[in-house]
Amino acid sequence: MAIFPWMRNAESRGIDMKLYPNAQRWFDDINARPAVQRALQVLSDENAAVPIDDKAREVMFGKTQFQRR
Amino acid sequence: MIDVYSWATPNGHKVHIMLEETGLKHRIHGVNIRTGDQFKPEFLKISPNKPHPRHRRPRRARRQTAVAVRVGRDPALPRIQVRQIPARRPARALALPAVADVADGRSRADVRPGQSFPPLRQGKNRLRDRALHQRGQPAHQCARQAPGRGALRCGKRLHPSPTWRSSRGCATPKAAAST
Repeated sequence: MAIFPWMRNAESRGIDMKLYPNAQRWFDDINARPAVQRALQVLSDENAAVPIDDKAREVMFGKTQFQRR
Repeated sequence: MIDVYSWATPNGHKVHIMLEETGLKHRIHGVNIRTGDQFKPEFLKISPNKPHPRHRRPRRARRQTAVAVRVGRDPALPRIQVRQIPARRPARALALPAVADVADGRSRADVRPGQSFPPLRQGKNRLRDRALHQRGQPAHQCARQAPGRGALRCGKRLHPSPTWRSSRGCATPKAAAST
């Protein structure tokens, strides 16, 4: 549960999963579970509706997070 | 009912997967971290340190529980059900080895989400009694007193030691497992 979500877009992190067949099989086993599929649908439409632009990047990784509130 | 404040991110999905797999009742509240929902006052009230995901449990649940297990009484066939771990320290410390047993494959998880605990024993040590009971050692065998109030209480000691148990003439969990 902790690692699986981070493996979902390994390519975008510059990792070729073909080099790691066992890890890929492990990923596929988990991915095939119906409960996991349901979980991955949670909020995904809402997430896709918001583009990652400079403003979003600023909010997530920029100085906004360190402002005093 | 568990209130989940999260978003469709890898860290959020960890929680969503756990909730879907266990079948625990929950409500999802979206916190859009791309538009800055995580800095809104209403979210900071729940999570002053601003990470997500965050879950909020009702007060009673917070006192009793988190997520997972119960060991059956038959020591030869340890059965563990996915139930709730006591949230309080002593009882929690005693319940966690059972979780580790499942994780390491020493016992089998018998998943039946959504079931409630048996009624609590009376008294302020009820959570500890229950945790010991769930490890296969009925609490009332650990002391000569009536089950409930006095069971397992030994001065101010939190966890009764094996020597303490044998001095009272009752079986240790290990001995119980071998019979």
